Amino acid sequence: MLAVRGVDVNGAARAALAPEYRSSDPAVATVDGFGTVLAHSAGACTITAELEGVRATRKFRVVANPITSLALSRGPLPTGLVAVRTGDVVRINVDARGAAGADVLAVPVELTFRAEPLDPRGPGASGQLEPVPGAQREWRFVAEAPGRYHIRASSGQTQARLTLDVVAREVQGRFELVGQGRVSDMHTSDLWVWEGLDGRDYAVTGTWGANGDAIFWDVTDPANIERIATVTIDARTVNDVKVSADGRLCVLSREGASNRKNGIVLVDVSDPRNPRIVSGFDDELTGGVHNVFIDGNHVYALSAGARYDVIDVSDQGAPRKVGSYKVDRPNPSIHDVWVVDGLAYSSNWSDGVHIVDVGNGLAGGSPTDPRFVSSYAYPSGWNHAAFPYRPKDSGLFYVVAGDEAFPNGLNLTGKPTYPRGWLHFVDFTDLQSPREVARYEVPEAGTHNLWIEDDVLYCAYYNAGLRAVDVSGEVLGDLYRQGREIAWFLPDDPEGHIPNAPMAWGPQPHKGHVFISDWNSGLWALKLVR
Amino acid sequence: MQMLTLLALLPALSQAPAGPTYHLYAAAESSDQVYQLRFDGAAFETVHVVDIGYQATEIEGPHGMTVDPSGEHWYVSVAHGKPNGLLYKYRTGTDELVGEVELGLYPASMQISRDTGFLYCVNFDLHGDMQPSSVSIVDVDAMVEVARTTTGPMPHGSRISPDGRRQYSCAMMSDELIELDTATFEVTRRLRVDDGSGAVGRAPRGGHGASAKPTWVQPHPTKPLVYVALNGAHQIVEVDLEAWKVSRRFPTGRAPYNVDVTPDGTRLVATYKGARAVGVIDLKSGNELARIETTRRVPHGVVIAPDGRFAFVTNEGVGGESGTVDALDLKALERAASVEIGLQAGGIALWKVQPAALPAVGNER
Repeated sequence: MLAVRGVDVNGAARAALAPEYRSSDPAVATVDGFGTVLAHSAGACTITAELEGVRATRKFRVVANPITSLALSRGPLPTGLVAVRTGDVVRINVDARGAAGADVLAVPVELTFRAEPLDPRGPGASGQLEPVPGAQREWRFVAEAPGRYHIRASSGQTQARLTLDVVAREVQGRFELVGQGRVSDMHTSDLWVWEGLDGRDYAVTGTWGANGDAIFWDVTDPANIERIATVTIDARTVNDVKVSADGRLCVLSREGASNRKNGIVLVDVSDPRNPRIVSGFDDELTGGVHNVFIDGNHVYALSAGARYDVIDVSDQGAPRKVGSYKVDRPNPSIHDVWVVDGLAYSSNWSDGVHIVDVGNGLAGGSPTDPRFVSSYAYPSGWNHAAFPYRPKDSGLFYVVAGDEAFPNGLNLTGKPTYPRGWLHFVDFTDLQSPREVARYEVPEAGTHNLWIEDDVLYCAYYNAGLRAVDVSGEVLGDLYRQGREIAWFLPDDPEGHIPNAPMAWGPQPHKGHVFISDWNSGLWALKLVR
Repeated sequence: MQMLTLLALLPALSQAPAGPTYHLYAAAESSDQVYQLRFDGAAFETVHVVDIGYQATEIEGPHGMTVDPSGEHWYVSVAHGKPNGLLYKYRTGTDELVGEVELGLYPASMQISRDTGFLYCVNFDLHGDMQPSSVSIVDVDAMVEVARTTTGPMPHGSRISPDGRRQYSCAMMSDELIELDTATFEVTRRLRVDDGSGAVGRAPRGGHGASAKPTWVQPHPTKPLVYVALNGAHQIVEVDLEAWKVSRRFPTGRAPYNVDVTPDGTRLVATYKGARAVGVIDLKSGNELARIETTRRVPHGVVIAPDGRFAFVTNEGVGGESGTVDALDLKALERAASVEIGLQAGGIALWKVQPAALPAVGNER
């Protein structure tokens, strides 16, 4: 493939050039309108590109293709599988040899495929076939629909074929509704579920655009969710709620405070039926704290949408800022932060996901000295959430980056909202070369928060409700079309704040159940039945 | 013959002529909305609600409002950004967004000078330790910040002198009134507005030296005077601009916050943030003529109509309670009407006053 570059009289680059191409000797090589050169026989020729009276040329010498034989073979299936399923990423090995039987690595080999879906009606089956980055003669393929897939390799006149039979993934299950803690007088925001010091299970949910309530629930029996306490703070939105791993400390984020100082509020939840406000902290958090995370004795709190601050809460009565991380870009904007194994994963809209060492040791960072590790951004700039995971037995490391977008507005009352966006699967196995490899996108809907446990992704997909997705093994392509979705549930409540308007905000699996908060209807408990 | 003519006119003249219609904009800081309102002398009508900001699920905080002297555009400052706040420019009537510019930390109150055409917006900055903040000077045609002048800690209440040549603001955390030359953008004078004893207000907290906590300054329309609300001292002070000293102190209700003066210069209206009330003060005697209860606990902004007939007051509300705008009848000294708007009502600006329609008699035959 040829590429042309052109500049105008001032030396400025011209974009989107579409010259006419021609070959000096089509018997040796031809060229199409896209600049793709096809060599036919040994010899010499010149390819010319011409546009607006300006020409550029390149000479080629065509030699005989040394590849005389091609063979394709399929890599091993994941452990336990006897057939390729939709969504399974299959490795394709290409063997290209010359007349003497030696490997020929320098000559390109192209792979394409043709599908024969089991169900030939409607659109044909599709898939994705691409070279494995950094590997020689290794490709990977994933199918979206069950059927037969013919993979063809070619180099000049030499060809090879491999046929794969792909069966349906058949991971589908269902969500069984177990219980609900309805909140219908105001919007609900995030949730956190934890085991209390007394061994019972509790949840806390925030409220949005309301009077600063955080609601506490006893969810020990998910079929009978009991509202046990309410803490009201000076805020209009308690967007995020988190509880420490030891079950003693709850942190509430604050936006819309009367004194405009916002910040966070620390609540002692040793007795969740009697939560007690211990302290507040607003130093340099005036812009409103949208999200927080607790890791050990440190709270990671978003400050003014520009950075996250690290706050030492070892003395809950006297929290103090000890560190901070800000994306080193013009006009940075942050929306969320999540900490696992000493690495902080922040979501930064157009600056994407940033991985920062806050104690892992990978880059010598600590809570007081956060250090950048890696990042990945994507064009839409909708990055709102990030969740890291390592599929079992795969050696792979992904970060799922979630969108949030309201191109159709946010309806506070009266009618449902129709957000947009999807989940981006970014392969961070090589931390220095992250690559977006797959997506999960429910049509006509928009993602919010997510959680992954035991290779199952739970996504609060706003108007598309709660979704459970099989994210086992390597992922590639369009997971929704590959049949990886396990189950879905729409929290539509006729008595909701906006009736019958599912708006799933956040999921959390806990002791065999999945809890979700819904913007219009409160807290729900579900069971994933497979 | 003459008698017959009068009788024919009587039915039309017996109808009370309609009063003018007041058009306003008011911001709801915690629901990211600006309301376009219309008041006919008896009741409000919500004409349009404008969603402000760019991130639907985050509170960005539209705070201060102003309308340019031509009445063609309205402006709203947005407190919370990344971290700097923004100034948005909208076309009046259609409420179409036409421009934006990034300012400093927590841009708040503002006004446009008739003399320079620039907009002067204080950057309130309650972000962390109290540091001197600034006034942003904005070319509103290009929507470009042309200068940023350091003034004092937590500046608030940006108001322009009637001739457009001076901008006044208060530094809430240094108890100062600060004067800026609108042409050179330089601070020309500073004045401590507490009484110097440290006893006029609450004891200083948090390491700053303020006790009076001035939150607003309002120039007199015709005299060389400005009035400053001392939120922490429960006083309004009158400052003689020629002598550059405090000339009088008026006691007020608890925590006076925003202030406006009637166009004839005889009365001052102040919101009492800590007293659920608005005070009307006679500027000649310094006496409070009336204290009018507001529809919500925390009154915030006030603007008086150019005809001096009504004052319009925003009330924040508490928690999830909606904010309101009250119309106060300055003749009857009572609340005439009220309308609910979004959460934490704050900034307010008067767009225009539409004269009453001509009596129908001229058009009827």
